[in-house]
Amino acid sequence: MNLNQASYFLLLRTTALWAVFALVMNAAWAQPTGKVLDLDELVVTGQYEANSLHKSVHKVKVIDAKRIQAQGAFNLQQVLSNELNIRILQDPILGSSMQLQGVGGNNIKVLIDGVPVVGRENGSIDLSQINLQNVERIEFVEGPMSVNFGTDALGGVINIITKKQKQSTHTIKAGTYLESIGQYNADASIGTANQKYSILANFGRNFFQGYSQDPESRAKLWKPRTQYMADLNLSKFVEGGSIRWTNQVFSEKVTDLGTPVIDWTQAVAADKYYHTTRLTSSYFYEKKFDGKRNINFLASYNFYQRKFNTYQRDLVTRTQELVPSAYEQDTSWFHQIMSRGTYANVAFSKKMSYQMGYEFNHEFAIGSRIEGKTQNMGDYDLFASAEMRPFKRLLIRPAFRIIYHTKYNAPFVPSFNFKYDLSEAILIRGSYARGFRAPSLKELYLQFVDASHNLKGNPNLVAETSDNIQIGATYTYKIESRVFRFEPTLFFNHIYNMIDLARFGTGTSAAFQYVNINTFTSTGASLTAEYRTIPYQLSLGYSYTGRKNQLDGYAQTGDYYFSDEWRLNAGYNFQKIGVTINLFCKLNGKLQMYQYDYLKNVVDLNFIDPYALVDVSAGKSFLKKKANLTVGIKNLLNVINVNANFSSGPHSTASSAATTAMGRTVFLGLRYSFY
Amino acid sequence: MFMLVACEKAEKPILLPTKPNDLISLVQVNLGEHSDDQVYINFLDSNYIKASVKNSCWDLAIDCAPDADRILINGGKGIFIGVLGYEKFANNVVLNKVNWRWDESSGGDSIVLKNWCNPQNRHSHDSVYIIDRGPDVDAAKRYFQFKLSNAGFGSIHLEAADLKGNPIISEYINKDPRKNYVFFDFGSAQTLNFEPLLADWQLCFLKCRWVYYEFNPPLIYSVTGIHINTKLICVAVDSSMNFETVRKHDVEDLKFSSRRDVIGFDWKIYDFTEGRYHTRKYVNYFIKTKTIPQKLYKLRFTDYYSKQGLKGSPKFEVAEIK
Repeated sequence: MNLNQASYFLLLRTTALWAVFALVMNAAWAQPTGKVLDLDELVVTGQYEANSLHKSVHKVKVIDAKRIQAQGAFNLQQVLSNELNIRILQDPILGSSMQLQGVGGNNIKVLIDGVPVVGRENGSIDLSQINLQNVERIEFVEGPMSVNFGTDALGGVINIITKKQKQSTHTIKAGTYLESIGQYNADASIGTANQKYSILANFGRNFFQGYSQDPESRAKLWKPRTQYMADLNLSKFVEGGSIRWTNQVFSEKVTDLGTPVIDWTQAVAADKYYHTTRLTSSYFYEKKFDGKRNINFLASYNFYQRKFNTYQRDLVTRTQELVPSAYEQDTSWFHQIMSRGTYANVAFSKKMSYQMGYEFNHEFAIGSRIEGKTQNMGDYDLFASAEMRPFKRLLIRPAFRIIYHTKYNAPFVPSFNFKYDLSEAILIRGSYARGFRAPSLKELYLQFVDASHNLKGNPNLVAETSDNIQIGATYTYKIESRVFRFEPTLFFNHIYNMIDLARFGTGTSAAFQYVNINTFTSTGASLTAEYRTIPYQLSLGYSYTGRKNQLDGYAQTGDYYFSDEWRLNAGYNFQKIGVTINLFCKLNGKLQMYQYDYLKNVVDLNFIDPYALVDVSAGKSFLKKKANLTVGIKNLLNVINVNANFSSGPHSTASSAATTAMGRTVFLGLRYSFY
Repeated sequence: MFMLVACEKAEKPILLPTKPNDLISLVQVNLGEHSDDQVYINFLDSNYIKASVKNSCWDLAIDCAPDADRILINGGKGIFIGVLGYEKFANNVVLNKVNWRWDESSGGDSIVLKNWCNPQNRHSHDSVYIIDRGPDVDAAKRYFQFKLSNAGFGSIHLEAADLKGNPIISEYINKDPRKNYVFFDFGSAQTLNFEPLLADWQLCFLKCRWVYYEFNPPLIYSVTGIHINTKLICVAVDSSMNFETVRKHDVEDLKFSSRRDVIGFDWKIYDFTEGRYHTRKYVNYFIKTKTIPQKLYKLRFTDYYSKQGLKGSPKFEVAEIK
């Protein structure tokens, strides 16, 4: 048993004991203050209008700005790594991807204020490129949201809600973040609003100097990154709503310094640079009429560019030249125009409300590794749903989406949700939903052939579809200033026609092509218990997820492999000195999965050993709460690499370690609000 | 403020190491970014490139030794051979019924065209073969049926027909006793004699074939490797000795091999993390000449990229061990 496993099992035994101990001792410790604590936040994802969690037919999870700040998280990868049922996977170049309920990142839709984030590398959005400096909260829904958000939402949706400038307010804020691993961030916001108009601008820069276990190594395992982001939001307040125009720019440079080659005639290295540019311009129109009806309209243009350059660097003269090879340079562009509009009547009758809408997406991919250099596709969808209350305590929501796709026959997508209020304290939610994922332009038209690669898209791919069933209960107990919530959930996902790369042929004719080869099933249960009082709060979660990855033609892959996760988050507020301390603890159990080995042409049962990520932080406000300081330690157990076994892929060799984290670090975050 | 300006540190310039001694030579061979070239090297000559051709220009290599009937196929080009029958060309070849075969990378006894004639009387068995010249050639010239016969005086008669049995080629391939091999190209129906004189090269860089038999079906790979001049040198491989300090007596007990692929292709490995080839600098190749007086050399690879950063330019250090 290695150190990672040992710490995992030690924590596993103590976490549950501590949590139960804390809950039992609460009666003695807590001094009710009369202040009302609530767990019932407002959410918008999948709602007809902003709605409370308690009333929502969807089970929406919320991570608020306070929690993000306490965790010292500045990007989506960091904040999600602490979430139950979410596994983060790291790639030195492609960044961070995730699994939600066992479903991979290519089936998770990431949205910012409802606008999809584009630019997937190897199927996933790089979560470390999604910055959280200006985020009010993150809402996420597990399970298909394809009726609401179309393709890619088969496994779930993460919707990042940004801060807005409220009427007649002013904002001048600055923040800085420093981490001992070599992370230096700075950001600022400035905004103002009167009764009619508002303007809000945010700027930020994140710099990471790179990390390798050998500090002398020129080539870093964790690549140096510099990110710049800026956004500008202009709003006009209209009666019962607003008109907003938002523009976001993101630029990232990842530096991949090569290993030096030195002899007595030369000292050179091949340095690679990956430049990512994202540009989003969105127009929002929201209006409520007579308190019952509302219109939401969104139109957006998304641009994504990924540029890869290789330079031959002379380490003696410190000069560099572009390597004159088409295979060492590549630029791909991705454009998307989308629009979504909904009309809802939240009080059509006493027993019914409804929503209908459309969605339009058209995307263009341009690049030398795309067949024909340019390809495009679009989908034009109509969707509708109704919330009905046949009995006082029962809320049902049937919904569907009809899709016309320019490249293939898209499936009909229905869903059905219900919520039953067993009592004031107990409610039960259940859902059946069908999800789908359209093959991406890369999966359809990739042409990446050189001496080391022969990867091809497949224009005959069909969409992945899925069935998802979830049922869960929520028990909420409130007494004075104490709130206790207990939520058990069961889920089942079955994905058909999953797209994967497969090897065809041998020898010089061997090639990898995307095919609908896979059937994926995940099932499991999760249990969360949350307790909030003054001065502390505690959240304990457990999940048990089974994955079955059945590859066509491989009978041995029909078994489920289960893995578990534990999460303990705790916070304590020392009111006298105004300091809050927080603990974030996530134990990831052993993960097993079948993987197709591209080199051996066989299916292997692979694994990632268990490991635990533990962060602690302390926060204090100064200067009449204008300044806020957070200090903490991330990855207290110093996890770096975890024992694992991965099969070889078209881009990777077989591996016996999973790059997981950069070891123990100390961080400091300071924010100052002039207004 | 520091947060806004923190950036990647400027590197200090590297001082080049001094040349270990005057006996050591550094040789770089440019095979092209896709290793399209087949290059013969004499590392003892300052003008070390002795011949360079396109690797795809030949299909068969005919052993020029007077008593040899061995014919090798160009595995690096992706060539496979099948046996169709005897005496007569087939009228209509069904390609997916052909049992395609390949030469072992060592080029030893396990080659497809080893027993095309009776080793005693050297009469042809009149076997009809079919050649698949690989996916990169014109479809019209990809497949040929062919027969071989000894024509005497160091000459082999090759007859070829298309898949319908129509005769296309009738060529006499003359062996050159000054060479290891002469070559034949079905595309141009010509014998090619580009190999340098037997004593004028030690190493040939080329695209060749490696077969992973541990996989089912066997995984057949095209690799960039080296074939040695088996008539001139033999090679021992060792990764435990220090290249700079190794002496003659350190290597005398090593096992030297005359397999053509003894150096092979794994002096470089592909690093998937970096997306580049790295040379295995710690592997030493000791070269013993078969000439008199016998000489001993040490060799190690240091790079696989050109000065411009293009791959396919192996670079190696070589020095005589005194």
